[in-house]
Amino acid sequence: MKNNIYIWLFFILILASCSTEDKIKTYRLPKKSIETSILVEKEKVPSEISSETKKFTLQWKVPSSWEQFDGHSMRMASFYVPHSTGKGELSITEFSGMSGGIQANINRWRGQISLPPESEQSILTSSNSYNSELGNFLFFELANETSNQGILASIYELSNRTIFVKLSIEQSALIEIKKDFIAFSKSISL
Amino acid sequence: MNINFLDKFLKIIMSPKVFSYTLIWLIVLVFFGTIAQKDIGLYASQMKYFSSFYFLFLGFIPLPGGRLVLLLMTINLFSSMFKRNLWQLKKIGIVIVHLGGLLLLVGGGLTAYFSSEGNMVIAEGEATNYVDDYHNMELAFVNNSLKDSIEYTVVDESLLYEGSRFQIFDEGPEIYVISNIKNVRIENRISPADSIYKGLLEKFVLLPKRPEAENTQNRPALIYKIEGTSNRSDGIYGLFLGQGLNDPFKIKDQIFHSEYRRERTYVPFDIQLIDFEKVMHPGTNVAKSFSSDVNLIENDIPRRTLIKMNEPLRHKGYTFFQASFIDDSEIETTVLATVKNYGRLFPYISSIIMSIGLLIHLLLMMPKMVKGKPK
Repeated sequence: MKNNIYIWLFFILILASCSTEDKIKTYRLPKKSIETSILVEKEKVPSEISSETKKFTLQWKVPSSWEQFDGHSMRMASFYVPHSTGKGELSITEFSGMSGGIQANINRWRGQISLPPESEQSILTSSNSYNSELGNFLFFELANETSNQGILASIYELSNRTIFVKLSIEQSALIEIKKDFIAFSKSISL
Repeated sequence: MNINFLDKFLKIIMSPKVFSYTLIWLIVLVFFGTIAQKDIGLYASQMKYFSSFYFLFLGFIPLPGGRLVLLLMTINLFSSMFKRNLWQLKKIGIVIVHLGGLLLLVGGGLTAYFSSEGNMVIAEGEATNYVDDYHNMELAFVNNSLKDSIEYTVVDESLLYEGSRFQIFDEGPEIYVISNIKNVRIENRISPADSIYKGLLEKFVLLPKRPEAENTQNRPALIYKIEGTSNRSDGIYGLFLGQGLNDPFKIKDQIFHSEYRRERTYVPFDIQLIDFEKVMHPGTNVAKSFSSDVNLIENDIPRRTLIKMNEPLRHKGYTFFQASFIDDSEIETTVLATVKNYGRLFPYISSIIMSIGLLIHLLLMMPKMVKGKPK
């Protein structure tokens, strides 16, 4: 009889010990550094950019064939992107806040390559989301076959600023460059 | 409680009849669970009939589910080991068979509660150290404002039911789950949103749509409210699986964003995809075979290995199967089905033990059988 009670107590103890796992967990992961990345040094940032922007530096991993050049003063960096039939121009710019929003910027770029504007839902649907060291970003591919113009763009909406990576290139070269562009966009980190 | 009543109850629990009935009920469950797969899908059927303690037959009659039945069976088998007349030399074979059966059930319990399975998705040239669960979701609050690290505060799915309230930090703001949607459709707002709606919900509404039978085809979403941030970040936020844009908010002067994602299980090593290769059936878009050339990086030491269909990589209790691939961009991405099963060896071991037990019992009974019954 006593033995039976002990068995019973044993099972109650086992059942009571279940499900003690924490429902809310906190952990930290290191921000991965890319050894071969190029640091945008403070002195290379054009003086016209505000002091707040100067403090904000990014790192990225550039494909070996790309060539950096001194572009517009509002840009964080500019690159020539060579392909089999010519070269495209890539710019990295940074603005505080939402900078007009995704729809306005994409439609502006669509206008630059003679494409009609689209609704925000349509723009978001056509985008692809990727992860980078900087957080999630949206990737857009705009192409106008008639005028042979194309744009590849990545938009990073950070907490208090927006980063735009835009490559203007011939439409026929989009396929050739797309892989490098996405890899470059993914490599951008703080 | 009356001691006599308890004693009677225990006698019932220990009865071999309980084992027989539970076994029959398991057969019934397997029958109905298999048929139900056609209508509600594999995952929902598994959850309803096998991974539950009870389910509602015809919507209102509660019947025992797989877990309750197996628990009863375990208790029955375990308590039967305490029968005094069982512990005799001539019954040693039966004792061993019982122990083998008990081990099988314990292994099943370990698998049910502690195993994890999911997908590890790796793009060419990249390395990953976590597995996305097939079904379970989690709400992650990501603090990206730390210098050298990213802080994740992750809320388990069991807390993400409608009406749930919890705090993610001590003395932090309160999170109130307004809606947990199994399958979402996203629509533009037709009128301006109230100022309480933040980020995505300023322009879109998240509406439920009929869940698909196959759970992995659903796009879950979560609507929650943050209260008590002491700044303008208080408000209602919406998240869905695969959302591209993050809606930032401030908590204690630090910038956070939230993600509604598949539950992540981190593995103690990295897997880097060097090259993904697929061979197509000639003249078709159907894959004949595919393989992943990977680096298993542990303590900064890479070990190169090839994962092929039917040739998985096994390491530290994890098994990585070549399951699928994603080829929608120029970068090839491999999908490795990943399983960590703590009870993996239990069926083998318990089968061996039970076979030995039966053999011993047979040998012990042999003289009686040879002698035969007196005519």
